[in-house]
Amino acid sequence: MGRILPLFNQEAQLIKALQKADPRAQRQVYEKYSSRMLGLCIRYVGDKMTAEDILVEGFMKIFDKIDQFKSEGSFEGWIRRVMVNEALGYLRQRKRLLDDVELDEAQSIADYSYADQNLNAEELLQIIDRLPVGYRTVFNLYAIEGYSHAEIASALGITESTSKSQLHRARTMLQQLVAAWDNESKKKVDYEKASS
Amino acid sequence: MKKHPVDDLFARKLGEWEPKPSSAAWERIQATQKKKERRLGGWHWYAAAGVLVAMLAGYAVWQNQQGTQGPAMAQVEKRKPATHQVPEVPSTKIPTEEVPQESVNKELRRFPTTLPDSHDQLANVETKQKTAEREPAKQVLDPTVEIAYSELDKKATTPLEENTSTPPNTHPAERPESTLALAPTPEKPENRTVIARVEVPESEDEAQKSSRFLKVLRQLKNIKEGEEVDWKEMGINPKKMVARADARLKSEEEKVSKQYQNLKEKL
Repeated sequence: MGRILPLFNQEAQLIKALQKADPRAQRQVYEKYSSRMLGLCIRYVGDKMTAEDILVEGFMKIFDKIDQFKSEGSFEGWIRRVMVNEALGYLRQRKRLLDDVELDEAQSIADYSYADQNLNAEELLQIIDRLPVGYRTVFNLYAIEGYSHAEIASALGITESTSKSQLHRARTMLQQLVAAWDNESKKKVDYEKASS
Repeated sequence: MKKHPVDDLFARKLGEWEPKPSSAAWERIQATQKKKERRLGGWHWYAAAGVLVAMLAGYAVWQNQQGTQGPAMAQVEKRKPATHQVPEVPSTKIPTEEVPQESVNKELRRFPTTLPDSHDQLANVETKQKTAEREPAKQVLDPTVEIAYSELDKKATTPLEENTSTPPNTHPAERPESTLALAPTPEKPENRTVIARVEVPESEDEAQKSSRFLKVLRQLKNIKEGEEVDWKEMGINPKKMVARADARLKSEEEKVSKQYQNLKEKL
């Protein structure tokens, strides 16, 4: 009996119920989006525990400020934005947003197909977690959430050019990290082949 | 615009990534939501409790008033003749003062003083005795008044005569009233209503019923909040019910298949 039947089939119905603070609707929204949103939060803050705190805060904000949701965009988009803002708020509090690191010129990888096939989400997360917070945040916002540089600039209180340069550096660093992982795993495969 | 290969790799793999949050996360959200509800709902409950208390207090006051109102009204009625009596008594004094007989004066003076006393100590048994004593005194009074009249008659003052002519008429009329007023007084304590609250311990059956009722309520609340329902607590096993239905369906199915087989064989 663990499954909860979807009581609100239409999104409009669900939102109406949320506006009345219906606990069933809240549960349904949580069931539907919590996992995806936890993934998002982990991408920004790095560790699962903190991400869960942000998730809880985010959902409370969603339930409290449901009246602010205008049915113009998608509901998931709105939830995603609330969560991103919550995560950015946390990072801002920690004041770790814009630390800089010196980077070597990235060695370019011609083919990402190997990494694409063999890297799973957890491994990619480990790679992304090695980025400085500023780079990671800009990369997350631009590459995964699809924000424009202008939006990122206003969200983080930086200039557009800073956003662009941070994205560039993030990409460079990620390329290096993926390449390093690529080499290591290929070596491992070769070793396994040789030993067998 | 074509996406950068690194962006594409991370976006595809991490955008769809859905790690499961711990159950504690939802509990935390639920706890805060409930707190807010309680904060809002508490206002209503306090208001409802206030209205209830006011109604109970009103009822209690009304009940008390109903209990005391009847006798209070009766008392007022009884006292009315007494207040009439007081001014009338001095009027009788006027002629008596002129009477030289001192014994009559004393008795007359005692009369107004004892009358209010008799009203105050109505419930006492002693007053009964007093009234018994007084009655002969009153009987004595009548002739003295008559004596006064006779003396006044001798003086032949017309305005006084008019005054004095009334007391003999009023006195006998008043006396039965005062005795009537005295008569119901011993009944007074009987009129007092004694409110006794008797606490009857709730029977065990009721307690069991309420607990079962509470269990069902708790599960209904679970359904309302989108939580899991503990069927065991409600004393219902849905699996058993389904199994029973399933068994019935199976027997029906067998019947149908047998009929089908029979038909097949006939053909």
